[in-house]
Amino acid sequence: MPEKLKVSLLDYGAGNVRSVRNAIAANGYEIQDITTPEQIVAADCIVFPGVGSFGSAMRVLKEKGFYQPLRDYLADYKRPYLGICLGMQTLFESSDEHEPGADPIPGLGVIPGKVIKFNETHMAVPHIGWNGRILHQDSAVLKHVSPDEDAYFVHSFYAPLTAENAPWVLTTTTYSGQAFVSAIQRGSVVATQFHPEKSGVTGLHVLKGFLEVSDCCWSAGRQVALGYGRLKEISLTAVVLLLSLTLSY
Amino acid sequence: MDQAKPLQVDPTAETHLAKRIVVALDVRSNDHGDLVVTKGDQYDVRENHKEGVTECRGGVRNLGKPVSLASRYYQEGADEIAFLNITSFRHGVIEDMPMLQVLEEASKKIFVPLTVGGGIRSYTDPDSGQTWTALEVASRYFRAGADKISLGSDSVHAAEAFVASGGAKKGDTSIETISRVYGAQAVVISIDPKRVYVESKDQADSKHVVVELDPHQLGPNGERFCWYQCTVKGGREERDICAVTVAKATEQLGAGEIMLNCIDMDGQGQGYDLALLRAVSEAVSIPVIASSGAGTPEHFSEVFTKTGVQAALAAGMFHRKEVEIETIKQHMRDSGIPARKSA
Repeated sequence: MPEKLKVSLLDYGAGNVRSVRNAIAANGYEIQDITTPEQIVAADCIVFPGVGSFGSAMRVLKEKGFYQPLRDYLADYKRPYLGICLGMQTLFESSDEHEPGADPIPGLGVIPGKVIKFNETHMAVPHIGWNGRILHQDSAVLKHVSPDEDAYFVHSFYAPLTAENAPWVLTTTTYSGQAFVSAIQRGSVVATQFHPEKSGVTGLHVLKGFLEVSDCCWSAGRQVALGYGRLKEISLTAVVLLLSLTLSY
Repeated sequence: MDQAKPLQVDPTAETHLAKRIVVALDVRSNDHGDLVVTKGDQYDVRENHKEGVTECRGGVRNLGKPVSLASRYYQEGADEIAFLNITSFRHGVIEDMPMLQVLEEASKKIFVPLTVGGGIRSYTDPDSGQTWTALEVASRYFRAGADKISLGSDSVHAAEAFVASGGAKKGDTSIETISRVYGAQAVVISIDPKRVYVESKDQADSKHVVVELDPHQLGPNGERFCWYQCTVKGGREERDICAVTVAKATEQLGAGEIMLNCIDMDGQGQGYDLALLRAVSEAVSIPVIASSGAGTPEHFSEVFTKTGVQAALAAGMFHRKEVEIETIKQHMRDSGIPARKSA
């Protein structure tokens, strides 16, 4: 069997990510856990299923020394990344999810804008359940999913659609008339507000799309690297040959 | 990865939150320590015998039944699965709870939200004397693969204390501690009320919310009014607090959802208690799951049309294979109610 991309999972132990592991495994990919900042630097593909609150997630990323390596990893949008739920929200600059009176805690700041709370006077909060997606980009990540299939959401905070984040928006969803960003993609950086690991076959297919595209990138990268290696080998052989020829004269 | 291509988007386009169908499995341990699904499952004794169960505790447990049934419901379109544990944990240690193994196995195959209920409370191991808090018990369930836990009796007592104190949060109830760590969406309150019929709206104690019953759901002697008295310990003990009050208090304490049963309607297949569900869903802003009484696809459409609930739960009718989940969803769509569209 050809070698496959390995998924690096950012699980800082704050909650249940068993389903995310199982859903990646169900798609036939192996997982390694990120425990050191160096692993982020070396990763081929990172999945970040944020759990807990925005503040606690950001605090843990900083405490473990993951903050800067993650920002660097995300900087040129070229390395495969999948954020889920809070893993999408932490890509924004900040969130209203913090203790009353306390200062907002900054996010990774990759996407411009702030994550805010649904208006409880107009709708039941949290937004729990199966909802649809309005497609804003044509992406290979969603190639196995039909546009009318529903995905599972559970969240009280959302990223509003703005002119600044428009280039990032992959899908939007509306809840009681309120539109919000339900998935983003820029280059290889992908994130979903919904939970692919809880969205039945639809969710498994979203993961499949992301992992296939990531795997394809990774294999192409390896091909280039392998090619380069072989070229070096060939030139080395040539030099040795030349040398031995020269010497024999 | 290539940058995806921008598409034309209709700015008026809207999506809709689907009304959920939750399938519940009432799970208990049998004499062998195996977990069996009880509701509508008249044959479990014979089937377990056939499957050759190991008899001693600590031997091989037959976990196949709850997991395989739940997997079937997942494949048939259940939007959520609830494992409701009706065994009390008098023996053994926390790590040995068979429900943990069920969750671990189920989460390998089932990719929709899993709720576990029953037995989530402070617990002392009779042998070692070690005590776990409700939060610690819940944490173990979350790690095993549960997305939500449901709290029963504990939440009625928490609501009573909350009301008695004039709305003071003690901060140490199971609702508060679990909600603080795992979020409100992970805490479901399961309420088991029974009807207390009254002559008129002002006949009951003013602290109880009295409702007028729907014309086709009157009491056995044509009673038109009632309030809903909460029970604890699986319906065996009545408390002087109504379902609306418990729902409102537990929402304040940090609950994210209300699973609302009704002892009078349970197992009858005559439809959900509409007056109860209307009263509670209007009183809280968190989602309410209707439970007790479903028997036909029409009952689902009725509860979604006539009350504000966001989900409806059933157990027996699915176990007995009376109605397929997809038939219910089609009936909902035909009635203009959004149901989940899946692959």
